[in-house]
Amino acid sequence: MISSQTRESFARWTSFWREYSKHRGAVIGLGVITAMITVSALAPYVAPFDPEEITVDRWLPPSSHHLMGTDNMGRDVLSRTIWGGRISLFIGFVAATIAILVGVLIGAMAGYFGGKLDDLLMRLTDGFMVIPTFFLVLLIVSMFGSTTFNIMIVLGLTSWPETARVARAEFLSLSKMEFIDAARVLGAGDLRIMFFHILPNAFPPILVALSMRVAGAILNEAALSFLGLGDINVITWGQMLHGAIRYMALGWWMAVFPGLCIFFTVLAFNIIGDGLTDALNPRLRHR
Amino acid sequence: MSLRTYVFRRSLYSIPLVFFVILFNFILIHSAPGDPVIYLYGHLDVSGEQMEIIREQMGLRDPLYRQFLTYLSRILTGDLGYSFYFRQPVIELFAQGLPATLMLMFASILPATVIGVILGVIAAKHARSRADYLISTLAIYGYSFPVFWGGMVSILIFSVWLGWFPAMGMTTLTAAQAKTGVDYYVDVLRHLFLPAIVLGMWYLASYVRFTRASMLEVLEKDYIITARSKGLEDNQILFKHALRNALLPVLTVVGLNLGMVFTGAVITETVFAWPGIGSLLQAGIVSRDYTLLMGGFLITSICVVFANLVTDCMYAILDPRITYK
Amino acid sequence: MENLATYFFASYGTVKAVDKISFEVTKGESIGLVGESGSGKSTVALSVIRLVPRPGKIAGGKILFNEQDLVSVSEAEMKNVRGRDIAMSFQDPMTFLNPVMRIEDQIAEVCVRHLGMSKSDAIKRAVDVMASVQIQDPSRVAKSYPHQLSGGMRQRILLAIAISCDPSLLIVDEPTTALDVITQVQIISLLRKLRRDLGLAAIIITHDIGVAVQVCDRLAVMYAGHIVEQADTKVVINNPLHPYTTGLLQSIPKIDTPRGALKYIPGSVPDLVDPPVGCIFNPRCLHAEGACRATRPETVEVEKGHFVACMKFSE
Repeated sequence: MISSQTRESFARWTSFWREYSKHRGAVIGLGVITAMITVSALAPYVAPFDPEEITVDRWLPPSSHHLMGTDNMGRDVLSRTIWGGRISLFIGFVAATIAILVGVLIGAMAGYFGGKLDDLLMRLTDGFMVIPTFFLVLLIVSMFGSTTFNIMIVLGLTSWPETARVARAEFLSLSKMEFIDAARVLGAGDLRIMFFHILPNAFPPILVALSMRVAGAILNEAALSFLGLGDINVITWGQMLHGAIRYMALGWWMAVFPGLCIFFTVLAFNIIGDGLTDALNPRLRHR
Repeated sequence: MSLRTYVFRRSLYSIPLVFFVILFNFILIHSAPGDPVIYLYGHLDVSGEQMEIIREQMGLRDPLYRQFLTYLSRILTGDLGYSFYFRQPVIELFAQGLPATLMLMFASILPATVIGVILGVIAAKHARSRADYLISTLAIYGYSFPVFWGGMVSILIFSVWLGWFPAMGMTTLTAAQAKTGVDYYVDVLRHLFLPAIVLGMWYLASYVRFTRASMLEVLEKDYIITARSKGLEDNQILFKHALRNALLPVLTVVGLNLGMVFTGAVITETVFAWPGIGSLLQAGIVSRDYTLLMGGFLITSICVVFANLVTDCMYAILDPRITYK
Repeated sequence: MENLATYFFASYGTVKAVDKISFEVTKGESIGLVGESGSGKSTVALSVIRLVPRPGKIAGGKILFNEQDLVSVSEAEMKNVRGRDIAMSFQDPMTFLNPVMRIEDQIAEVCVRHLGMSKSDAIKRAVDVMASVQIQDPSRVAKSYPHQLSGGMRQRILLAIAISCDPSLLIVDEPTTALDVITQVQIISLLRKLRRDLGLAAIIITHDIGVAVQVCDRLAVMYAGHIVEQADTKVVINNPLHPYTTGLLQSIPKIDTPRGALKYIPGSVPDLVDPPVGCIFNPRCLHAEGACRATRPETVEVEKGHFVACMKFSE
């Protein structure tokens, strides 16, 4: 029984991938993200200079020697961008994962069990959506200290409501399906049903939410750093922008390149999210 | 229930919400690591003894609930504390910065809403055509653009290189160039242009996406088939039947955005040094002026509650299903 | 309708929802399109007014109406036909009415569009039309919204919308399916009354033969996109010739059916992307022979007005 279900899930995944690849932008987006992750993972080997090395060659425009120029402290912008990508992407993924985990947990319980629990959890979610979260993040980070760890946790813990809604909708509709009744008849416990039966099928919309969350987290982290609340001990794209604003007239490359990276990364994740949504929506598929 | 009852009940419901917001704020202040005195009265040069006296005066020796009641009464009388950085009552500072922020918000959100909805409808009407593809692509680009970066880039291009628009502030400051009368307003508008465009672009993109999605969903509905079977013209169906339904969720989003007005302002105002509440908050962040920040959080939260209330009521006016259930 | 074919072009194959069917309706006459779910009856209706949803398309055949072939007419011309000459009422009264528009607007707009009436005149007419579909207190109902009304009322509204401009042809899709039994009876008698009063031609689509029998002069039995039998109602009921029709009639439990196992037709509806070769019914037919599995039977007029598509009658 389980193996035929696994086969069915597998079939769903392959047809899903086929649909997804029809969306050109989404495939490109996936490629871009993979490239970025690879480059930043290989930062020690790829970056031409030491990102922290202060030299006297300040404000050099982009050249063959320094592809993205140098900043106000003579540091190579390209290397800083590559190393910065590491942290920016890392923070983005971790914060998004936290948000997804919390959101799915809450949404799953609300959707599966329903009733009073659902009511309570949904009121909690609504309450959270009312709170100006970015502001909350500002406050918490400025009060509790702006370390990378704090930033990730706070970003994650303030952006789960949207995922919770999506998860709840999925669990609600899936738990009414027949194969769940079948599993119950066979004696599967609630927890088992939720994780092994419903969750694999609820994955696609959750994946969409994840993609959007990463985009959001990267933007939020960049905004935080830009306002001066970033972790000053690390390099992130947002940090670089924060440093660049004063010297814009002197060195446009300091601001343009890191921002470009943020833009492309966020764009890629958003397009991936759109591609995923299109792949899931049968009606709009046919032409 | 009638509309009046609904509005009344919904307004009533907002009161516990505001209470909750104030309570949440209070908890936040007192859960921060360290001493509330430091958070509320900043890094003033006071000795340990004086700190004790202050604590006594502030009633920090009192049980927590007592402190909360004091806090509550202070809030209700409009006393949001004293900003140590600006040396002014917080509420005054907000009042000063409000007009500038409102100006920026209206200049950006309103056109963004109108244009965004129109473009979203066009995109949905010609779904999967080249026009749709163009609009949707532009929308997703605009939506992914980090607003602060966009601001910086536009300053670079339009101010530094092209010199078309001023880069910072709301008015030109030099005494020799100080303008009056009509010139003043023109000057302000010139300064307003870039930040409004940059901020508006993001809202525009998000409204285009949202309207398009909502319209597409509505156009798949059964009652559109009925409308078509009546032989109505396409545009009639689009506007009279589809849009009326599709705009409802869009309205909710716009309402929420307006509620979160101040959060949206922070970044743009920082980039353009626009003297509104956003810049105010930025100064508070940099100087760790917690009183100011807490006050801002409280005001923003209450604004959100209020905006939600207004949005819900508008929704009730437009969607007959709510009030006649 | 001559050899109408409507296919759905999906990514996994072409679904032959309606595969070359022909029938005709004359003024004052009503024909019932009967068949189980998935037999293609709704698609036929939507094809007549050319509102087949994507990815469906009319793939062949002609629909002759008032000397025009509706298949080849322009979309603009079609818009004039819809609502005025041919009108349709739909299956699920809740989802087929616009939730944010008042009833009077939803009916009036048809009259404004096709009869050039002013809004106030059209609303008056809407109230009159509502009265003729047996809605009590029509002026009050006119000002209300769909969700405030009962299912029966909503179905009447759909009918009111359809007849508001005096169409020559009325298509009614499953008028009773979404309703409880008592309301069904009311709607059936309403349909009969409308036919008497307005004298229009009607195509009634239903899977409930009981309904069809009470309202229709002729019946066309559909199966998997084909019309297998067509004749006057009494003839079909008393002298069914096609095995599917016989099976269908037998499987209806009646009050005086002796106790025992319910009769049913063995097998299931064929895959419309890959239909069986030969007669569409042959996999389930108890009388199937070699010829049935080889060629698609022609529709033959066995007696006056009685058409069957079965190999038994094709020799």
